[in-house]
Amino acid sequence: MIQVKGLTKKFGDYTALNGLDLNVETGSVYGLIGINGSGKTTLIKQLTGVLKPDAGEITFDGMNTYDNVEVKQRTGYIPDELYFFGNYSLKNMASFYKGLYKNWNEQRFEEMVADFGLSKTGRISRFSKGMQKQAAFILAMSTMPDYLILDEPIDGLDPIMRKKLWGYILGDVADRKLTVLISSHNLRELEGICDAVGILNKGKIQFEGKLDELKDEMKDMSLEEIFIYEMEGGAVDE
Amino acid sequence: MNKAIFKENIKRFWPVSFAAFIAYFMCGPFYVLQSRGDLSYGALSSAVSTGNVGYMFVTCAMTVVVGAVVYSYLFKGSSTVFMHAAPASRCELYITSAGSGLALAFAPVLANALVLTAIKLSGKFDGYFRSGSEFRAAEMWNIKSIIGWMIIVWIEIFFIFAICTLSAMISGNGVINVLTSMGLNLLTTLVYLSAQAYASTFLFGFSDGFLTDAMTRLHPVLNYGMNRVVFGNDEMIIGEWSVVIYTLVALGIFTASYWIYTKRANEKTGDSYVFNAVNVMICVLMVYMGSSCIGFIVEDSLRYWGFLLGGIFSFFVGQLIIQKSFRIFNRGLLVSLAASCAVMALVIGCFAADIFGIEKYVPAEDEISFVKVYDSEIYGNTFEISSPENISRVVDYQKMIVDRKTQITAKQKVTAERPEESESWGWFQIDYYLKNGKMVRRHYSIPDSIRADSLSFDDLYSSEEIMGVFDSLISSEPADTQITVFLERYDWYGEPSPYASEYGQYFADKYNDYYGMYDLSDSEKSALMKAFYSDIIRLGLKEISPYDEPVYFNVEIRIAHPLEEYEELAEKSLGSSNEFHDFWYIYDENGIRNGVNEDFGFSVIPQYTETLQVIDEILANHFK
Repeated sequence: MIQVKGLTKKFGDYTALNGLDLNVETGSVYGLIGINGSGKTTLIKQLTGVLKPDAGEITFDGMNTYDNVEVKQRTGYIPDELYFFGNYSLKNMASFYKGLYKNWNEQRFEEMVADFGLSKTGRISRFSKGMQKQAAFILAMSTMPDYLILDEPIDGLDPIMRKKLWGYILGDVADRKLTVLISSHNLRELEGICDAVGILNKGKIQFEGKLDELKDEMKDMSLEEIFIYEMEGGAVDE
Repeated sequence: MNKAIFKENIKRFWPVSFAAFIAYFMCGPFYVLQSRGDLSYGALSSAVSTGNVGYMFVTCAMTVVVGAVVYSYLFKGSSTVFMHAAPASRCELYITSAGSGLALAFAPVLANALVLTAIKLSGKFDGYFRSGSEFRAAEMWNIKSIIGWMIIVWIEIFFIFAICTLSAMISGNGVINVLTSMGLNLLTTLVYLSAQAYASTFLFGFSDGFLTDAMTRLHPVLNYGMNRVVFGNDEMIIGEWSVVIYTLVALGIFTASYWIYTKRANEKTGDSYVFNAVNVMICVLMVYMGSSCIGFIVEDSLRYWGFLLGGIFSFFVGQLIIQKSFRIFNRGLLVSLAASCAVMALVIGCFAADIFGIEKYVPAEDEISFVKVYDSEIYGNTFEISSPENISRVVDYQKMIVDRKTQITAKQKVTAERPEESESWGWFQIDYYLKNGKMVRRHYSIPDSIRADSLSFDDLYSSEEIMGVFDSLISSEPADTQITVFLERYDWYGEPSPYASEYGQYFADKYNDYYGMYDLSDSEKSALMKAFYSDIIRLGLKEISPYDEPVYFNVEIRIAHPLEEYEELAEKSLGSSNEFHDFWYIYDENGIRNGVNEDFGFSVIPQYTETLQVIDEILANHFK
């Protein structure tokens, strides 16, 4: 389970996150949505230990995340801005990941590379943006994570690749109780995938709840419509 | 240490190490190999010398580049996220980056040492040097010297890399990191140079001896480079304590850098500096450097304007670089500028007001061990004084100069503004070697009128301690003496001299065009040396070589002495061709020291009446 309590993060005089609370159940897919600049990436960077909170607590199954190697071993992360070592191929990066992650699964890596049709020896820097996202996804999933944090991962992927990607994610959710937090603006896609959503606004989770219950309450409204309704001042009962 | 990241760093950045190894090879072993077994002291000594300029440059450049690449993940948003999300703690990331950087920097030095060892083991460089050195090749060029060189260069790298690590922890982007690495490594040198410039400008009599010694010790490359350590002879091994101290200081910098890293906010990646306090410090440093540079470039009458405008200009340039924008002008900036200028005013004020009393400082006589005196007006120029009476005379002379500072600076102004009214000047330098191991240097330009007023000056140069240097002329055996007489009609290469005199022409016309080393009999040598001694004692040091008298002859007298009794004097040799009295080692055909030469050089002027008479008689005998 991912738990966030009272999380605060400031950048100079600007408060990006202000006492934020968030809960992601084990083995579920949580959709984090919010307008541009609401703090989604800031929150995600703190979940993955890149930024240090100014106040509050972040735990994965009761373990504090900041500077915690064990948590990071079990966390797969695809950031919005990808990074690969210069001139490295997928094979070179896999070799690095293999040395870094204890649970690295070489067989899964080979299967996914074949499935996505990527070149193992070609330079990743020459891949298209979509192919680079696929490469990042393959590497993250091959570490057999218990937690998967995705920051706008499906931008730039074609529908076939997106379907494959979700197939792997949901398969691991079902088989291994993978816990997933995904941030995206593609609310239609999230609507069909997520178990729960959180709407981030003005540094706090304005609304959080199971998607089924939300849709039951807001009859005939799509997630996108619910989101706009929430942003324009309407309030959904949690 | 994270093994995966360490391995990856080596894999990615090994070309830097390889390029450095090639550069080391070209600066050392290649130079030896191309001598093709000809035992050149220069080639062999430089290959294991910390003063090899090529080595120094490679060491500094390579270490800065290694620092830039292993810490490059800190300077880009995406790489910062990638590495800090990876399963490695900050401590592991820090230790792994530093460890891999040191491994990359140490490796080419080790490789170069192995190449030098292979060359040594070939056996082709074990014989005697061709000429002119203190050691046989085998004494200097050995495994011990190679290992010693390697360790010293590693210490230099360790120190430079520690500073590069500190720079990486405070910088936000790659360009600023490299500039800061270079700047922090040069900081002590730049501070020394600027302090020397301020002191020389504002402090009457200041000279840089102590500052040079102190400041060069603040960085190992400067220290070991300027001391030019050549291993192999135990006497030339520099103090082991310096190695320990540099290592400890570097470890301290690494520790401080780690602490800074734990406080580093990743969200500041991309800014020039990650900590606001560093922005302020860099600004102050830039104002100091810019103000100093401009202030000392412009002419004296505009100096203070140079300080002010240089400081303002460099402040704004610094802000442009740090903020990466032309939109830097705001009210807060003016406060920073005013503060920086106030710091500069304080620095200049401290020097101008001589708050440390450097101008007036004269060591107490009981603090002084010995004194070296350098005087432009005196034959031989340099003397070492240890007798209490002469030390007292030097102290009195300095006190007289300090008391008459106002008069001297007024005369300097006259000389500058109305050269037609100026008198002639000489310079006088005193190096006090104190009993506590320190050296205090003062250097004065003094007009002849003030010098002439000093009784201490006359008493000093007529004392037994000073004039005693000429005792060898009458105490040495003629058989041990070699005399060369050069007519001042020709220069050292036998070409017509522009300084030929009428009297010299007389000798040339009377005897021959050229006079060299004659096979003088012992009685002739003895008579000549007695005549010299008599003239010198009569004339005194002030008069035996004045600049405004015509020179008839240049005479070199070389006296051979046994090694054991004169070794200490030979060690003190200045080794300068301008020195007219000095001691030199003599070597046999195998390059082994077996004696000491004492050399005198005289310019014979008309006042050498007895000497000229004896030369005339000798030449008359030889040209019968």
